[in-house]
Amino acid sequence: MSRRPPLRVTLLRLAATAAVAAVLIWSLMYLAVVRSHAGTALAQPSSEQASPVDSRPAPTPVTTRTS
Amino acid sequence: VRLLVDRASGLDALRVQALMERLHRALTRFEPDSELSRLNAGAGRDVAVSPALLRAVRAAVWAARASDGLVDPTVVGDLERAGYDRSRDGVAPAALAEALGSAPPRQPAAPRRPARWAGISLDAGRSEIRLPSGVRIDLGGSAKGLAADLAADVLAGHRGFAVDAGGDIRIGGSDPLPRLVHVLHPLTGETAHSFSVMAGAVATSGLQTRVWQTDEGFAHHLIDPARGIPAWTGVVQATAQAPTALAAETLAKTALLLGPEGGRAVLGRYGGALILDDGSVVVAA
Repeated sequence: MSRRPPLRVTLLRLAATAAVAAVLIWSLMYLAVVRSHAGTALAQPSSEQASPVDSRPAPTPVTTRTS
Repeated sequence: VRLLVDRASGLDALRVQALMERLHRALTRFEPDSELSRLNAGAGRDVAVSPALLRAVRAAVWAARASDGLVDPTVVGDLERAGYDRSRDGVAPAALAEALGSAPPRQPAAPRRPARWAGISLDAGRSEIRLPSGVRIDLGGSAKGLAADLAADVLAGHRGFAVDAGGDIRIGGSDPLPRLVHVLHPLTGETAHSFSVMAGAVATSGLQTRVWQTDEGFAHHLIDPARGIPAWTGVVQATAQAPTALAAETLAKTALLLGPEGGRAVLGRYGGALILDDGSVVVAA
């Protein structure tokens, strides 16, 4: 007949397992956030890259002529 | 004068208008009491002049030197003998096609030797000019180019602008967009060519608006300095691009006076277009 571990030991094991799981979960969440931010940074233009579309209307044409 | 800016600015428009009026009053040869007329009357002695006239005469001498004497401001007597002795503003020109049909054989113009313009003396420190004895000057085209350039200085703070001083156009601004500049065909009235310009100048020189009939035939205002008569070179209109309106005006007139071959070479530096007697359009890239 197997001997049951004392309640105190069982509680300690459960606490240790929960702690390890929490650390793993937080690590995975942290990595996910970091990767998400890195992707965003790559997708956005830098401040020196102007928008390729200038919203201003085209300037009025002019006509050169002899006078 | 036509002014286009990216946003309303009545103050700058007024400044440009005042500048143009001041230049016109000082630089016309058709008003006997203009500053230029007084300078011409004082040929042979030092004449005190305003900064505007000093600058305009300096621009005319620059144009003469840059064109190796083809754009010669001293051909006033030749212009008057050809019939251009009073303003032709508002006077309907003769038919260009008819004038071309009866014009003498075409030949390139040449500089006058010795060059009278080389004897013009400018003293910026004392603000004085001395014309050689018996020499009078006309500032016509160079003054128009200079006026567009001075107006551009006034408008430099705008994001985008275009100023049109009698056909000499200066384009620019602190953050301009490309602007189309159309060239009209003098024989058809339609657009012969278009340039896209973001910053710089475009000027046109041609016979169309200053051609008239005389007892001897037709005449116009673009004089061959070497022969002292209107130049019939095979080019009826030349349009030049350049960094400044003064340079564009000088290049356009030089190209017209040199004829089709020389004109194309002159316009090749910054780009331009020639329209020949037969109506064909030659684009110089």
